[in-house]
Amino acid sequence: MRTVGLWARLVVTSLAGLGLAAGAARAGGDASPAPASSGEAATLARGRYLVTVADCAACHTQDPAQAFAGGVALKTPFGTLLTPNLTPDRETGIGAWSDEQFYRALHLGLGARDEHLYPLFPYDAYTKLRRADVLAIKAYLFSLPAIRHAIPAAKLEFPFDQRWLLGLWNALNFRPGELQADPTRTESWNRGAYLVEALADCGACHTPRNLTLGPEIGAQFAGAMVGSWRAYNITTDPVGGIADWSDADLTAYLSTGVAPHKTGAVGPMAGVIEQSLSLLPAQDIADIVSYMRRIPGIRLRTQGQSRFSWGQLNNPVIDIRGNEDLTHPSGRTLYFGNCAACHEGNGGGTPDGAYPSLVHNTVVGASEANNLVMTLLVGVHRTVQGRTVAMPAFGAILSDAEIAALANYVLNTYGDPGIAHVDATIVAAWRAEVLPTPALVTALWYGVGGFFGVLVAGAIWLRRR
Amino acid sequence: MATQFDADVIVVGSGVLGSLTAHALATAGKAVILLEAGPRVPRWQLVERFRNVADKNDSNRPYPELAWAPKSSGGPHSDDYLQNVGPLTYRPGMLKLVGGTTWNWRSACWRLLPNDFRLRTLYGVGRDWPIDYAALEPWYGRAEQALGVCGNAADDQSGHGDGAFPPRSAEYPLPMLPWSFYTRAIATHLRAAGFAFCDEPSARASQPYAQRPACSGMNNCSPICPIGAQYSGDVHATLAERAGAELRENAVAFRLERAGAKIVAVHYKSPDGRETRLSARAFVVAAHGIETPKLLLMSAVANASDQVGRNLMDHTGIGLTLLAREALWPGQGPVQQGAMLRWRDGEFRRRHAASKHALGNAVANRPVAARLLAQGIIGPELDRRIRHDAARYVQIMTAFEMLPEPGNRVTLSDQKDALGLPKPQIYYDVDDYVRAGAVVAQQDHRRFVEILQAEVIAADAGWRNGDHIMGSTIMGADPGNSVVDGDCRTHDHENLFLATTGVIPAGGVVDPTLTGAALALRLADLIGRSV
Amino acid sequence: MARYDSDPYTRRDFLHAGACAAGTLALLAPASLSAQMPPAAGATPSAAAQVALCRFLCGFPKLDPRLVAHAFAALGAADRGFGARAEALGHAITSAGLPDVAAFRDSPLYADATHRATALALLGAFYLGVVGTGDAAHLIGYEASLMFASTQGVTPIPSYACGGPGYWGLVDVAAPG
Repeated sequence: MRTVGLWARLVVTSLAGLGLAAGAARAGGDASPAPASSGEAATLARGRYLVTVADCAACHTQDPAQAFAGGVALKTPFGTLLTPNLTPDRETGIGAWSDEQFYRALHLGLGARDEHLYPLFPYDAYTKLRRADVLAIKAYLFSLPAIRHAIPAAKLEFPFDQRWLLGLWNALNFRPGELQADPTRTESWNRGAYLVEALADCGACHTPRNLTLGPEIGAQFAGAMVGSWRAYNITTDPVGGIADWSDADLTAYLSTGVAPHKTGAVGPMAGVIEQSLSLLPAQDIADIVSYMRRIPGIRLRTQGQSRFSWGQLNNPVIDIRGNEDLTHPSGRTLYFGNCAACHEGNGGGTPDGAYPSLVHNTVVGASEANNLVMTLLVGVHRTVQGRTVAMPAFGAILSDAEIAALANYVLNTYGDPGIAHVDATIVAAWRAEVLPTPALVTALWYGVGGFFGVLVAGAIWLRRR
Repeated sequence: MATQFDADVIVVGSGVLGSLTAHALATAGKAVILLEAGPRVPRWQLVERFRNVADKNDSNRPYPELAWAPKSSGGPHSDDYLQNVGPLTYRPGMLKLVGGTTWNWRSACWRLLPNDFRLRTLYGVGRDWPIDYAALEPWYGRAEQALGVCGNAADDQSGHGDGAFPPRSAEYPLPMLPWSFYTRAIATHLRAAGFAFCDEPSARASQPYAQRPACSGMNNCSPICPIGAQYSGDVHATLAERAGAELRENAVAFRLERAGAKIVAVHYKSPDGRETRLSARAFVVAAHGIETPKLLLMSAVANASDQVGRNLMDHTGIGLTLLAREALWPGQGPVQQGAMLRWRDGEFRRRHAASKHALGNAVANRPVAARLLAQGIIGPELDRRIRHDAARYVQIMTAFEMLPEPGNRVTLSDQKDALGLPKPQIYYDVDDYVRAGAVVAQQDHRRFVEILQAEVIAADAGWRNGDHIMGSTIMGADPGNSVVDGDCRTHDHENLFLATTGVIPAGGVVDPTLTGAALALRLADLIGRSV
Repeated sequence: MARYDSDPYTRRDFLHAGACAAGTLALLAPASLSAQMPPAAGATPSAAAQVALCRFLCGFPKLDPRLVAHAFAALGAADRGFGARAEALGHAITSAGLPDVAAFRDSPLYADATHRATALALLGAFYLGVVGTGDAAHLIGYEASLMFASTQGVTPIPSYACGGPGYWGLVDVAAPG
């Protein structure tokens, strides 16, 4: 059974949705003094590049003018965490950290006082980084302006505030160690593996979670929830995954956010492309594609048909002209009033693809309605290579019931009719980005805590006897 | 004395000027009530209403037809609302719903020229403004920001060919929309013949702006932009509410209650006739240029000058419709692009009205097909000719500067509307100043026909409404012959302001909305600092 | 641009359509009145004849029968004799053995004032999408109006996109269409 719910990188949604373009590539670097040597310059350039790939800004930059000053609120089922300040300020940032401390943070998930860091910080990916790269990241961060920004300490509910319990989490889910190249694979594949596994950490969103909210073994990249959004199955399965995307599709999508006549990036992924992937050299994208094309194909039970395969052009306009109830609108009427101007009455979009087709659209055709509904609610705002693509946020105009009716019309007409049972309650929950508290996990932790409590109590009692 | 008010400021009318005012005041921390005679209607409904409406020749038809909130046309109540008793029928676009008339406009957003403010001093005709361009200039910039105006700051908008004009302290917030093939071709031909041709700045998002998507040329600006790339007053009505203003729709203000020299309350009727009284420290009437004087007249306030309702102006104009020799393909992009400004300003204004030729860019299939069917053309030739003629259809709309004439006026008719309130009565005519301007403009029209080697479909079709209501609550320094001062404060009541293009004493040849928006922001700033 | 599926004016595969450029007018061969498709099950003979007549006049064999029904309802409501005159026109065309609307246009039938008025009333309904004017106007259709068919791909049906933001600035400097 797959646990729904994740250490949610929730605010990635808000950042991506707002389309903040100040990715790591622009973060404060211009203000630092010129490095003294070309070796140093190379290290800083390398660090800046790594920070872009890893998209540290997504979690650590709240205000683009205050790069990496932290304070971004990440909602989890156990409470809200605020991300730390990574600028070189000695008191509120990491200015007092040594190279060894910084390495242990990324490599072992340990803080400055050797306390366990919450694995919301993906040290399970960054452990794979080479030491020289980790230190390049540190050097780059230290070259940025020091910003005084005190972040309050994390406050999670008991027992999740007991950091020593994370040692158990690590025992179950974490294998520290730098990524080793596979000599049986191509150089491109190995570079791709490093980019995907150690830096971009695609699995943070795309790999489903096990009972302890660690990555599920054997299901890598098979799809998972990110707040109310769905990070899709990106394995090579032809039904559940993206095997029916060409290399050109993937390359275009990762570089620009658009796979022509297939899909456009929405939600948190739009932010990832905007702030990170679109800024990478073409070779990096090619390496990522090379790696992703060779991962095992996995299909989840709910994924019955390729996301790309649904829908037909259908224009019911003759049915409705002069024949609509505008005060109690059907989903079809809402479609014509809100959507057809751009996506056309038949759902096919414009010939130039600027307004995408809803037919054979991988968001509309997905096996769950989340991303369609979320896109209706919050719209799209994506700036790549200086051009902004925007779709309005219909959540500001339409009620939950209207969004539900509209979504069901789109699903019935252009997507999977089997999931066209969205209702106002679901829309309201997704709109609020309510995280389901995984009761099993809570019980598990109480149980584990209780178990160890019993052990300790028993040991003390035995001692006394 | 009662010190309890229902609001700090009550704004009557939720069109662009009223909503800008309400938003600015609410943002400044004032308690604001915004009254709107009509209902709240979401854009998607208006889009489908447009597509469903049978008579697409009247662009008001998609809008709700309500007995208590008649429009200027487009239904049984509305068609009989404005009572014209003069030689010309004055029927400018007017809507009543949250957001007002700018749901249905073509969003041209020009600034007046510095000389427009000094019409009498420079040219001996009309009236001067009591303020100058420099006083309004920063507010023009803020209005352009608020409305999201796209344009080319390097353009010479004076028609003189001397470089960028008028002077601006800020760039346009958005770059100009690209010109279509049609606009480029016509501009090239006209410029080669010595006509100045420049871009028309407009409130269209040429890139995503605030919450508005970018314009993609659905060519339906009037009657309704399907996606809101074009600005409409509901943008600031919504923003005003989010800033804390209380918006009451279906609330028809019918009386401003006076105590001494101050206005103390406004009374409004609901559609069922129920009356409500609301008190405030200050009042802004932003009910556009017909309903604002009507409210003042019904209330018998602000009219010691006897100028309320008088000096009614428009940019009455003439049209020219051609079939050019070459295929130019109007209909790509917005419904209007570009203007010829040769007669915008100059010494000639002593003798005849200034004018502006605007180039229409609307999809032409409907008038072309109707014309061909009227000629009895059927069969494959009909389709071929529709395509052929639609590609060559050129529309030019020429607007004239009007002068304020006291006899052109809005008064209260004996006829009553469904709420028992008097309908507006209008007397309107054009004078020799305008007719002389038309003679000159028609010489231009003949030149256009030659330059485009065109066949004329329609010229001399009579005077057309320009939808630009001005003058009816005229601004001036002298309380004896004007209704408001340079701050849009009524002379007679220090806490009554008018946010309407009706205050404009000299409108030049350009659409008055941007000027009205600048004045509204300026008066809201004044009220915000003093109330 | 918005189109309805039964669209004879272009045959492009929608998913591979190019930029907003001229489409070729691939009009289906106009069919004679007597060779029209048989009526839908349950339709009255006169309804089928009405559909056949309108398809003939419009030169559009796929004209939707629902639009035909709207048109006859509206025209009949305004003028009770219209149905009979339309039937008479249909008979006259069939009797004369006219193969298509171009032949009709060139025939003495079109010179007859009544037949001409009847034909133009129907064509107005389908081309302009409306019967009547002002408060008495009756909508027949909008997006399906035939006046838009011959300019598809070049200019939009108003209120629908023909391309993405700013598309018209990207159209080749050679005249579109």
